Amino acid sequence: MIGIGLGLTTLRGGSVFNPADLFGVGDNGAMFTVSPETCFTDTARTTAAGVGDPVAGLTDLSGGGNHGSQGTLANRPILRQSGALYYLEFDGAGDWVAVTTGGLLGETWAHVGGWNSTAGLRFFATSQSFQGAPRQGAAITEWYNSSGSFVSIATVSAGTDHVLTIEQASTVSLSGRANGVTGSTITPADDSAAGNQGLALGSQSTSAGTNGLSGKFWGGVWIDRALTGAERAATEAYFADLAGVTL
Amino acid sequence: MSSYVMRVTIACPIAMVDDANNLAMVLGEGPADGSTFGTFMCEDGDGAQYAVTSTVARAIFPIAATSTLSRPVWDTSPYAISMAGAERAQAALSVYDPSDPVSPAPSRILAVIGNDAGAALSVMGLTALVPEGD
Repeated sequence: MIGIGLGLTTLRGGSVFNPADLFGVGDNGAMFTVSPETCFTDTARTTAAGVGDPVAGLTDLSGGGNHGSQGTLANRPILRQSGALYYLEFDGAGDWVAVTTGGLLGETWAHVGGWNSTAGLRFFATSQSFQGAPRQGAAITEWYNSSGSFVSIATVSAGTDHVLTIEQASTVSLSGRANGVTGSTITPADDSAAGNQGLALGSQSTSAGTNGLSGKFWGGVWIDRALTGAERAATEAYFADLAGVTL
Repeated sequence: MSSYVMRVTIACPIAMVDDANNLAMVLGEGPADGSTFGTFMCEDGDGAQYAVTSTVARAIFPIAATSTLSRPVWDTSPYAISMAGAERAQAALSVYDPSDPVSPAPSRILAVIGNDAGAALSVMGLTALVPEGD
C-alpha cells in the first residue's frame, strides 16, 4: 500500500485503490465522498450543489443505490470547501442525512470515514435509539456498550479532523481506531438489531434528526463485512487524503 | 457562488410549532419543510422548551419573512399549508437586535442572524436538550 496523494492509494497489483472497490457481489453498504460532483440541492440529485449550498442529495458511490437525502431545507448540511478539499458542515441543530432505515448492515460490518466533531453523534447504524452511534467526548470517541454506558473506543480530540474506523466483528465485539491507531474493543449494546441496521449521517435516529452532529464529514464508507488489514489500511489512507489528515 | 449568504437560527415556543412549520413551508421549498421545527429541542433558564432550527438563508430572507405571505404554487387543494397559521407565526416573529435584545418567550418566535448556531443559542439563553439515555 502506497499513499501517493489525493485518493491515489494502491492496494494490490499496483492499481489505484478506491473504497468503492471493496464492494463485491453480495456486499451491502454505502460510500460517500463530498464534492460538487456528489452533492446536490435536490433529493432527486439532478442539480449540483455549489460551495455554501444546503445539500439535499448525496450520491452513494458503492453501487448499491443507498443515496442520502434530506427533504427539509433547514435540516440539510452545507457543502463547504477547505483548500482543495470538501466537507459537509452539520450545525448541531437538526442537520442530518437519511440513508436507509434498515437492511444495510448485518452482524459484522466496518466503517471508515473522515470526521471532525465537537458534539453529537456522527452517524447511526442500528434500529435502537442511540445504541449504535459514535459520540464525541472531549478527547475520545465513545460507543454505547452492553452495560448501558458510553465507553471509549478511540482517542480523538473534539474539533479535530481525523479518520475514524469502527468495525463490528460480531454482536459482542466492536473496535475503534483513530488516525490508524488502534483503540479499544468493547461489547456493543446493539445485538438485537444485528442483521437489520440502517444508516443516517449526523443523527441518532434513522428516521429523525436528534442528538445531531456538530462538525464536519469529509466522506466515509460502510460495508457489511470485516475488512482485511490491507483493505483497512488502504481505506484509511484514502479518507485521510480526503480529510487532509496525516496518518 | 452560493446564494445562501447568511445563517439564521430560530427558536419557537412549543405551542407555536405547528404555526411555525406552516410558515417554514411558505418560505421554504416544499412540504418536507413542514418538519422544520420539532426535533431539535432546547430550554431556557426557567425550563421553558423551544423547538429550534438553524439554516442558511438567501439575502432576501429578512424581507420575505416579513412581507405579505403567498401560498406556494406547489400547495394545491387539498392544501398542506394553513396560511392562517403561517400568518400567526409571522406575526410572532422577531429578529434579534443586539442593540435592543430580547429573549425567546411563549408568544415570540425569535430569529438570530449569525454564522454559528451554537453562538445563536447562547445569545438566546438556550441550551440543547439531550435525549433520554444519552
